[in-house]
Amino acid sequence: MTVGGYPPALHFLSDLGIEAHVGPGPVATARIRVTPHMTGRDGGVRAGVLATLVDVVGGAVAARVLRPDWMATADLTLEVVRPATGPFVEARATVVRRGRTTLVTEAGVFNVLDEGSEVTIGAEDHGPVAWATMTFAVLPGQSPTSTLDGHQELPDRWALAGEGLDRPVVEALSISVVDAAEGRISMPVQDYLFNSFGAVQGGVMALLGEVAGAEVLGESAGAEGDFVATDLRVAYLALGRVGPIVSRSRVLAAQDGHPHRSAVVELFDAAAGDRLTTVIDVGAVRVAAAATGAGS
Amino acid sequence: MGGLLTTVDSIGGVLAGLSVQPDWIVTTSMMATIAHLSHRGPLRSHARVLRRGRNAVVTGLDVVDEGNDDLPVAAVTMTSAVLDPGAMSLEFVRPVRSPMPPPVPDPQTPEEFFNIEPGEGLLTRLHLADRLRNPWGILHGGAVATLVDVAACRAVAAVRDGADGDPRGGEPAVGLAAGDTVIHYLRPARVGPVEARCQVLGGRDGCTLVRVAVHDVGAADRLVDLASVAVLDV
Repeated sequence: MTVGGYPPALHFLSDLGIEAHVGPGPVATARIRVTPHMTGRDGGVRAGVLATLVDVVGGAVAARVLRPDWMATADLTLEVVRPATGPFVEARATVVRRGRTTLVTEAGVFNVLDEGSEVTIGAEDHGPVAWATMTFAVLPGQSPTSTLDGHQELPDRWALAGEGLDRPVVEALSISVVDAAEGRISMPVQDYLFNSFGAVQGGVMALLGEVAGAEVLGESAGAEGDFVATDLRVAYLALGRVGPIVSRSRVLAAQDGHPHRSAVVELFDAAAGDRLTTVIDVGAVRVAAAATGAGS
Repeated sequence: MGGLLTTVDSIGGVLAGLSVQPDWIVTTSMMATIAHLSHRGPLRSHARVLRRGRNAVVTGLDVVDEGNDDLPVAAVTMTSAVLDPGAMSLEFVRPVRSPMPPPVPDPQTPEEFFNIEPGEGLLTRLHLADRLRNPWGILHGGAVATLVDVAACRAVAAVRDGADGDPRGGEPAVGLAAGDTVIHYLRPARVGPVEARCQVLGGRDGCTLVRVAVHDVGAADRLVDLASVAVLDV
């Protein structure tokens, strides 16, 4: 089902197959079935896909609390502590502060079985696979930019049933690497990616940051190998409406010989005056190290 | 890291405040990515306003090590809420200049300066002295950053020591340092003492993630800040 017609059947969120449950109270859960097309080089769900999931679950609980007002994601942070391998990945969100102009949520992300219990393999593989926070800017209920009516009833449960991803998510979003050494990628804007404001969904912007960050870090490391993004810190500055969305990236350098690397990715709406839309700090680890999923 | 973010909060805050005068700002969130942990100094920050809205200002800061060929130290994105300053005096002579003070010959440790109690374990406490308040009269964002830095490192050390029942206890001791940090300043801390309560979430490859919830004990124990800190083995 959809909420007020959003998202349509042919949509990225629908193809992820997100199921959500809101309430009772200021809590929400959302989950997806892990498929090979959404996983990264470490075998876990890509950080950008997890960001999309937590943005949806955070938005679901925010919409319930703020109704009839609406909201837009202002910032999102995601820290992955071990690969999200499923078989399902579930995000559980709560509201930590509701203010006049902003609402802050946090979410834990867990590997779960179909019946909902957490996957535990040994003493080291317990607890969340990731932790996230989101800040939402509160918008008036009659926002002229949103296609949604804030006064309509919001369902307690909903499931988005699309066709599913039939190819890797980066291909499905038509993301192309222009210059890996510069962390320059490009993605056309299409209805398939829109949020309720008719702009590129925030999770997709995070995914772009993940891809660009991993590319520039991998190129800078040379023979050290590929990197997988584990941390995303995203500041949403403006909507990406026209496209293509293009990136510029820079490596922040290694942390004094530490296996972690970081990069800063900026996303621009090329045909909208090259407007800066999003800044994403990306943390990453080498694939071989990440794949072990070793606990601390 | 706490000292670095104290400086960042001050510089980014002044820039954001100047951009919205005659209004002023209060920091609501800080997302810091740390590139290098050892510095020669002096450090130089370059701040720019990324977005100036009606209710909020987003500021981006890059910190480099001048003494080490401008090696990147950190990239930080701050969000500040725009507020009516009321009776607060906010007069500046443009361009705003604040000369660097000379080095302190016998500096206090961050824990001493920020009134952080000695201790160990998953809970770390700060006493709210007047000199730790910002112009709004609330605990300075940099003090919060230092508190969560110290608390997160103590929490990981405690788990490593097996002091808190974690099954991973008993691992060899290593040096620990706070790295990438996210702080949401949710509510003002006005009363104190202020407690940082940590939850070690896990980690991989020499990096442990800690969730830190900061409470103002004297204000009905309300949650005032929520943070995450990546604690690095060094």
